[in-house]
Amino acid sequence: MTLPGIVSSRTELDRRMVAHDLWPRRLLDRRAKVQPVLPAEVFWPTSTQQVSEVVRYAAEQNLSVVPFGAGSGVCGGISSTTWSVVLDLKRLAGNVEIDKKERKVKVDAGMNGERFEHHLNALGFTCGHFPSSIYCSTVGGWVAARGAGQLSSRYGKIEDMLLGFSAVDGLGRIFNVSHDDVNGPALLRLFIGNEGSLCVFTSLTFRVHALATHRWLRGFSFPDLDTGLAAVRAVMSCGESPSVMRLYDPLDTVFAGGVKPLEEDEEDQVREGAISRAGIEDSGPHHDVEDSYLDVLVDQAEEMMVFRKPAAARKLVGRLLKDPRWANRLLDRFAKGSKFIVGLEGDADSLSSRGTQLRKRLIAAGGVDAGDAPGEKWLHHRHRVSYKMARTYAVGGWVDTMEVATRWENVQPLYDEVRRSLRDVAVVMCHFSHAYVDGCSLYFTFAGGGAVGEGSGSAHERYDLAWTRAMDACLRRGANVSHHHGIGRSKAGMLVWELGTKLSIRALKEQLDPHHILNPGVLGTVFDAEEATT
Amino acid sequence: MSLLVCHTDELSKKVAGLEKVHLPCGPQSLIRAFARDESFVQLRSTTTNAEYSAQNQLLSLDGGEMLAHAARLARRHEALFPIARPFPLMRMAEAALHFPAFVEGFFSGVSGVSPRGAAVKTPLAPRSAQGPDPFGLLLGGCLLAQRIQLRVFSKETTSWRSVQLPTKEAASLLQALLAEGRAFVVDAQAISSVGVGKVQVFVLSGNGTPHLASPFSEVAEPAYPRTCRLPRSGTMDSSRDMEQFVGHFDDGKRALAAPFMHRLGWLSKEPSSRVIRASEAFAADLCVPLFTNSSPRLDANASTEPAFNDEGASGVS
Repeated sequence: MTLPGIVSSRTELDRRMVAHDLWPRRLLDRRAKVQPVLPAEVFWPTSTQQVSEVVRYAAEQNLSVVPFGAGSGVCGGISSTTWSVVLDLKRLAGNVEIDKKERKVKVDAGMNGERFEHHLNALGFTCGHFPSSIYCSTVGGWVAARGAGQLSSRYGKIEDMLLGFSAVDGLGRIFNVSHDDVNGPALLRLFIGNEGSLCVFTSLTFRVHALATHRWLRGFSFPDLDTGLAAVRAVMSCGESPSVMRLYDPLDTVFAGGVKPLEEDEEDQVREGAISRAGIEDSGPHHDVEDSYLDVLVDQAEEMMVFRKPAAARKLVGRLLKDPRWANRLLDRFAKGSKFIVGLEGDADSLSSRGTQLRKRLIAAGGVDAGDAPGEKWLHHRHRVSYKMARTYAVGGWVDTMEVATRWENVQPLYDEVRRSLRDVAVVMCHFSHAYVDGCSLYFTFAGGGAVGEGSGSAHERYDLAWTRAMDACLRRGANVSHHHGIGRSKAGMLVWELGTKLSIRALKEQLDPHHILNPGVLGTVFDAEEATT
Repeated sequence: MSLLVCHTDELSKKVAGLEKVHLPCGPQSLIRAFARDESFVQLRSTTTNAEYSAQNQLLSLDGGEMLAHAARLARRHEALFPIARPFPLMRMAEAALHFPAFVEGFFSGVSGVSPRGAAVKTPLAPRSAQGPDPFGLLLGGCLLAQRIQLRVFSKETTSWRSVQLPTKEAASLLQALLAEGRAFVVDAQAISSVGVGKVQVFVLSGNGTPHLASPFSEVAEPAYPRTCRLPRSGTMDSSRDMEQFVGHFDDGKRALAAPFMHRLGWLSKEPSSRVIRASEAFAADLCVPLFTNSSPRLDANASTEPAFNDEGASGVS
């Protein structure tokens, strides 16, 4: 034990487990049998004080410190070097204190998201943050990467929920920030999303909301994406703030199981149970959510290919993704219409009238009612898609997601431009699930292939090419390069900092981490001293 | 180049000299102004240079615009300004410094300069996850807002409603609206002219919100009686405790909330001690109180600092 009382390990297996996050490029490395760089040691602190001790130890030993939550990041925010130690915070998860009167909860940073939400639900509350990674992420990670959950239109992003935190800086000093302090709002904005480069979060205070008793979920079909986007904008500008609002582009509509308009008018159904609940089993009884025959068939085919005939699957996927142009053309031709899922939460009485009004509004905007089955089905499967990605890798392909945001007038042009620029590299689809009065996030999924290893025609090369082109399109269209996944290393080169911002953040870094030991390498050139002077 | 730590009230005095100099809102001119050894630069709007995007419900305007004029610009574009009249006698850039709730709730984007003239710009889209948020620099007094994208609300889809309630009921309404998260603005304060314990509540929300029917009445433009003193400072408040709301109303504070953004702040008549500092290093100074025993919590009522303070005058080159 390097530090008395703090559990640590130098075994290869332990170090391997925390060597990197789920950045797909690292997964390509692993598939190509590239060995990850392992940290010198991994520590499991159980208190803020122990975090401080580890940071002080690292500073003395000239080691860098990489904070690690659950490792579910997808941007390379965690990447070890041989001279780094990893602070695995999962054992810093013992405390959850709720203040019902003030509607706040204080929670240790290493607590798993699902457990946290379960705990709140049992007391009649919700935090409202439901990222796809909720089963495999920590609350500290949510804040470090400035994340967003599936219900962000109602509860906001993590920066709308965080009211304060305790943290340890690069000198091992413990400090607290509260939203209500005179500089609180400023400091919260500057620390949220720092990706472990300014401090290690050890405890967070969030706003909580009373758990709703009922839900209203419904599906609609729009003739095209443009009409659907206009409807989303109309809903946000009238101040409805639905808990769920997901518009799928035509291709994603196919992959999301399509949408079948109602043949006969169906009354609004308000069901018991909130949308904002942890776990599928707690969302109340599910009606009409049985998988379609197509869903079952596709699932079984995938299972068979991946687990029983992997060689055949690799061959098939390799051919399909070798030249994605024809696949994109084919899908463009046959994929028509956009699926839209919308959901409200509240008490039964208010939901009935809100639901009716919202349905009328969406129909007036060009939507065709598809009843409540699509919404209920989404609720039942809402975290499932993230766990399907591994299958693509297993059969020789790769898949990644890019979440960016822009103002309304740029949404459709950006969508078109990204798809156009990736046509010959990857199959591209997109959905829109975080909308605001003044803009919207675009969530692209792209899948490609390529040979194993580095070099021309390799999966690595095509993956990098896809990202370069997609990011270029975003920058050309004035979009953000990240809406809620963060920057890490994957987008570091794309991050454009104005000089004043850069100087100010660097001043913060000098104050808090003068030896630059906290998670070096993330957030691009902002901490590059050479650039500051030029 | 010398720079001053300059309290807001000093602004107008200092600016008087500068106003004789043609000073359009451009970063280069600001840098030049500092190079001329000016002590402070006010962002004075020399022309009405506002753009409205109906699609995004954003009014893009100079930081040098007076609040009252900004409201007129919004009205000209058939949009509703998110604060009730009468407006504090401040420019937008000053309001950004003194009313954090105004920024947190209604600023979608801002571009400006650090007091030494280096450009600062928030991301172009409504939300991002791109590391530290430059809005923190604005909220911390490290940024002069030159150009602001302000959230205003279309008259077609939203409207102001008004109601006068006893303090406890007003506090309860505020609590409920914040919990619900649908209204765009709540602006409320106690008004003496209608008797003891009454609070005037203005709510800006989408049309067709049945729960805001009776006893609310629709108003074209929300306005408190002229006898109400104008706010000069503000704080954010994370509490959702009704008793605290009642206390704030009783203390004469004014609630400014953006329920759709989950933000609540209280505006106060006491002068603010917020300052714009002279260098980018001030961002780091924000952290200094974190490691001392002195609590950085601001109690606006307790603020007795002089309006002018030159103690921070320092040579920065």
